[in-house]
Amino acid sequence: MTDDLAAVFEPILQIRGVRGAMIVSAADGVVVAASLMEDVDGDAFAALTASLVGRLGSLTDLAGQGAPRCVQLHAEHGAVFLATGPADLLLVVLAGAGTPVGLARLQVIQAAGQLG
Amino acid sequence: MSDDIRTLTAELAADPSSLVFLRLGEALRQRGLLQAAAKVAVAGLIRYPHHPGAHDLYAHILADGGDYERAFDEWDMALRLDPTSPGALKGIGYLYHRAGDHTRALEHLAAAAAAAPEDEGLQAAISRLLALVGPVAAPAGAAEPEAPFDPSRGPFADFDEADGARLLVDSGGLCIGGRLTAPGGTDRSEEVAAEIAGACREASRAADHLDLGAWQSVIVECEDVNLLLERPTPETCLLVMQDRDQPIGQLRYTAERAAASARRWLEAVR
Repeated sequence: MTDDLAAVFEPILQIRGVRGAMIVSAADGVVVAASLMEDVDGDAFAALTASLVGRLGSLTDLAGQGAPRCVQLHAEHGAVFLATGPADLLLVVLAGAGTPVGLARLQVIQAAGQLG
Repeated sequence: MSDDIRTLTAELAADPSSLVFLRLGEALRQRGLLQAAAKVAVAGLIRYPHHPGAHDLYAHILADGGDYERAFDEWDMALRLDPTSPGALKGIGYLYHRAGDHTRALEHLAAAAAAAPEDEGLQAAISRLLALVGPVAAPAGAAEPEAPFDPSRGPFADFDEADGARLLVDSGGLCIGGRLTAPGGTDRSEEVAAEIAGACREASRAADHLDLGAWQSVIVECEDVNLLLERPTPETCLLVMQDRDQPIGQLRYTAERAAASARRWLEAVR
C-alpha cells in the first residue's frame, strides 16, 4: 500500500470498533486497496457493497435524486459505512458494534474526498 | 488557563479513562474554548461511545459552534441511550424552537421538565412557549390516550409533507402504502418500490455475509435528500425520504414513527 493510501486509511482504522477499510471500484466491485482484519473476505465484501450501492443508485436515480454520496448499513452486530469518491471509487468501512457512528461517518466522508 | 480547567486537565492526564472529561469539556465549553472542548469530548466519546452524557456534551459544543445538524444527531444518540436525558431533551427542544417548530419544542421541553422538575429555567422556557402555541400533548414517553385509528386512510395518515415522503413495500416489490414523486412531480412510487425490495435483499446479503446479524436500517445521503430504509415487519420494507437540511436524527425519528404506523396498519388490514 502506498503512503498516500495509508494516510487515507489511518484515521479511520483508529476509530474504536473499525475492522477494516477498502477502496473499491464502484463499477465492477473490484478491490483497489484494502486494510482489513484477517477474517474479512475482502473480495466478497467489495462485491456485496458495490452491488448494494448499485441498487441504491438505481433507486435514488428513479426518485430523481442522483447518486448516493454516503451510505450507512446498520445491523445487529455492526455497520458498513461507505462514501463515494472521485473516479468512480468507493471508500468502504466495516465496523463492529459500539463504533461511534457520527465519527465514523465523518471520517469516511472526509477520507473519500481524498481519493483520486 | 483557569484553575478548575488546570485541575481537571491534570486529573484527566493522570487517569485518561476517567469520566472527568465530561467536566473538563463542559468547563472549556462554558469559557468558549470550543475547539479544545470538542477535542476532549471526541476523545471521551471514542472511549465511551455509549455514554449519553458524552453525546450530550459534544452536542452542546456543536450547537455552540452553530453546527445544529450534527448537534441534533448527537442529542438524538444521547436519547437513544437514555430516553429521559434532560440535557438531550432540552437540546432537541431548543433546536426545534430555533427551527420554528414550537409544538415539538414544547413536547421535548415538557419531557425534560418531567425528568428534571427542579430546573426553574426549563419551567420558564415552557411558559414562554406555551404563550406561543398553547397547551400541547403530554411529555414524550408518557402514556397517551389511543387516537381513533382508521385503516382505510392508509398507513401514513398522521404524517404531513414536513415529514417527507414515505413508501411501504412488500417483499415482491409492490407499493402497498405511501407515495413518492420525483422533483418534477412525476409519481415514481411503483418503480421505486421495486428497487426498494431489491436494495433490501442486497442489504440482507451483505449483513449475512459479514456476520453482522439482521440488518436494521440503511441510510443514504444524496445531494438534496437523505433516505432511510428499514423493515417494519419481516415481509415489508419502508422508505422515508427527507430534505437534506433535516438532520439524520430527525430522519431516524420520522422513520421510527412511520414504521410503527405501518405495523399498526398492517395488523388492522390483515
